[in-house]
Amino acid sequence: MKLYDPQNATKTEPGIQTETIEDEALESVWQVVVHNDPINLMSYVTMVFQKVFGFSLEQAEKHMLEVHHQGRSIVWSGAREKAEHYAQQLHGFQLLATLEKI
Amino acid sequence: MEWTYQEDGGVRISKLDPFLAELVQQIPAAADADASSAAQQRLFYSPVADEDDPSEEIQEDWQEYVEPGLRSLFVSADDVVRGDLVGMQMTKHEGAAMFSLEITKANLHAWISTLNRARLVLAETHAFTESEIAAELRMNFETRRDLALFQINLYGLLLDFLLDGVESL
Repeated sequence: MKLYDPQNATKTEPGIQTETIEDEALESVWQVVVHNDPINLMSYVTMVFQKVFGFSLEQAEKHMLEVHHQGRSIVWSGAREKAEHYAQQLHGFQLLATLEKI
Repeated sequence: MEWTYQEDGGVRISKLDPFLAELVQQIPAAADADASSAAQQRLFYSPVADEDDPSEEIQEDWQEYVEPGLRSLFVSADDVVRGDLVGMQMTKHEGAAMFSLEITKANLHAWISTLNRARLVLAETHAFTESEIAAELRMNFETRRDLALFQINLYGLLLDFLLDGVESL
């Protein structure tokens, strides 16, 4: 945020000067997406989701069925560094996982 | 082939005939990530599409830092499996040679990793389609590819059994 800059200040009224404020760009949000691979067993994918994300069995099965029926599921979204960390873990479990910038 | 869950959390696979025992012995080799370029591409790939990574920063970081870590992880799991396979025992059952194998609770996740990877590598190397994998299992092998499909199914059966045996994650 850029605070009061006398060089660029505009006097609109005596004693009043405008401030130029610029917002920094918000950090991009990234999604972790798991894609379907017909080789992976449904029980295996469910186990991986529970282990990596701490999902309950119900949550894990919900995401697994999304992958199975819709071809993909967004399993997490947030800051890039953490998204990369999750993607790395999913690759360690040999799931098809990608990162998408929102 | 039989399998039982032990009280200490381990599993015992028994009554493996010599053919199945040999296929079980081949699990680490079947899981070799460098078996084919298709297998390598399946297991080691940048997670970000070009449009989201125009500077290729993530792709380069992945190749330099993540891929070696994944390879190390896979090799460690395979070494555990190889160690257990050395302990495969042969007995006589009704006059025929039968084999058995013990897997401790501590080693279950290594076996799960290697079995899953073996299935992926075989599927990618032989370019199996989803319908081929889902088709009724055949016991007549005319080609190496036919045998690979049988391995994918056998390893899937073992993987399902081990996943059932994993109590805590």
